[in-house]
Amino acid sequence: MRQAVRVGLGVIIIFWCLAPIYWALVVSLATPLQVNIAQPFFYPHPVTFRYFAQLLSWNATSRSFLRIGLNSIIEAGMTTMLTVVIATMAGYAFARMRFRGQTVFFFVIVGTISLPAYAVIVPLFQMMSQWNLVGTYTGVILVEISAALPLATWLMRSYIASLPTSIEESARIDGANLLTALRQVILPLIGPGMASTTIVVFLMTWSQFIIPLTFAPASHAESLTVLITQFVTKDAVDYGLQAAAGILALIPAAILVVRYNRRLVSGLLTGAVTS
Amino acid sequence: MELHTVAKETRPLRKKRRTHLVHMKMMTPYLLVLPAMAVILGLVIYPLIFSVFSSLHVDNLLYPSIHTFVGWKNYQQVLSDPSFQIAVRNTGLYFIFATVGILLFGLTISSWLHSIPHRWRGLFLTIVILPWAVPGVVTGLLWSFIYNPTSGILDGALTSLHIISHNIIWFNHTSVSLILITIALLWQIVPLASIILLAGLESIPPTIYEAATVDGCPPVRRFFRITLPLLRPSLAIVLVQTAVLSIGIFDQVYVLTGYDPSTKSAVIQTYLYAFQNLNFGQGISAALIITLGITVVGYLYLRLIYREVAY
Repeated sequence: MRQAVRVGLGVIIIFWCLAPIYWALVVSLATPLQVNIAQPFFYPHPVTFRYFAQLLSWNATSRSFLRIGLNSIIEAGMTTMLTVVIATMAGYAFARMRFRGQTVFFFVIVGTISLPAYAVIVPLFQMMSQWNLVGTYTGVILVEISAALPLATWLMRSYIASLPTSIEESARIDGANLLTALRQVILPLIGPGMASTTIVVFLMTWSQFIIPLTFAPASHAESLTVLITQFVTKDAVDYGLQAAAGILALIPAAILVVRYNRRLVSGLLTGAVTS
Repeated sequence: MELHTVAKETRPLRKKRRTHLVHMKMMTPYLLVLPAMAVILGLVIYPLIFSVFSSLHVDNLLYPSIHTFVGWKNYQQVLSDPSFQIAVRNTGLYFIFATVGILLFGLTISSWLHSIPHRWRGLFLTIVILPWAVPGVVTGLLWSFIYNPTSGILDGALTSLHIISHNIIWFNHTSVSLILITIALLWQIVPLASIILLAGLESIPPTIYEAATVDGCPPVRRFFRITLPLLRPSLAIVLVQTAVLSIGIFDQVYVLTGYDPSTKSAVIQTYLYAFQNLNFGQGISAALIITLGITVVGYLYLRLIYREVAY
């Protein structure tokens, strides 16, 4: 009896998690004929790949799906790289060193962790337009770094603080200078923490919408999330194209989740403790 | 003679080098923290202070040369604006629906994950966490296909089961729309809540349950008397995050109903003030009001619910 409840509940939960993705896949593979007649359907028949082909065909216009997908990869990739490097430096200092003003610095950086992006988006927009950074990679990446950095710093600090200090100390006693110790002892040790921070930050940045919408609308730095909303409002009829775009945008995220689920979960749990 | 001069020359050099090293060592933590501090001070703290200043002045792109001090006027205008009031009401409903939903779904999913054998845990954890990684905009898109009045699977399934006879246009009813948008939000935020609660459940020692079972405590009572009180720290975290995410709801509303007044959230209204009316002063005031609201709710939650648990 208890076993039956457990299995039944499991089926419902898995259905809840996966059905929306399955349904978008169906819409993206169905012909317009099947989508537009008011007849219930649960799988595509016949299957067509025309929407995926249309999105993935390279055309020279600056607003093609692939071109803007590349923007998203560049922006999320650069943001993640810079954020993780900066956060690792600060996290190491907070976890391992004692210095004057430490608590103040820590509070300033990590205290803004639950400050939502929209709280400062208007003044940031004014600053960025003064510096002529609206509609550029630099502008978007700078704002995205500032949004991801508090969480990333917290994650790195927690991870480094959880490691035993003895290995680093013995490396120092054996005469390794800071750089050697860093390359051969510290980095290999904190590697897993950096990996888990990288995944969390990349997925968060990949999902960003209000930042690219504000700082790079209809420009050469436009992101995938912004493009997708334009499919929705402008081509309100072409559900297949929208669905294919949505599926393509969630594939990189899904691959990361499936491949690195353990690191992701541990990163998310560490991050959750702050609030 | 030669040796003597060499020694004389090296000694001050070595001393200089050592103080240099000591300096380096003292500076290291500051150098390590510097980039992070620069980013946060420049791109978070400064804009925040600047926005408090801005909110007290005229700051309108249509009148770029006027920056007179107006005191609380921006706040008064925002608070007395009917469209902001509606947006706040909608946001309040999103918050309430999302909180109820997160407790229901989060507790169910985490208890289920807790009850299944360990060798299945990895697989099902991956499936449960997957929606978290789907961008909010895509989440809205996925649910728009489900709710679609002509080809949506919601109408399709209900018709096939003979529950409804003709397709329903779901977004014609305000309260239904708010619930449907909340469901799209929940799909994205329930995963994180579930794993936080799962971690909370795993930290409760099983001996407590064993003792309670031996004493003849029924399961329902075990849940309310043991599980819930011991889950308080995790619950507090989940509720605070739900408050932040539901009061700040933007992506799902934007995709599903756009700027529709009957469903727009407070952050959508902020966006309209700043980037459609180009009235930055009002936009900033509205953003600060929402941020204040979230802070108050978060503080209350932590005061009322959060309690360190000791075994």
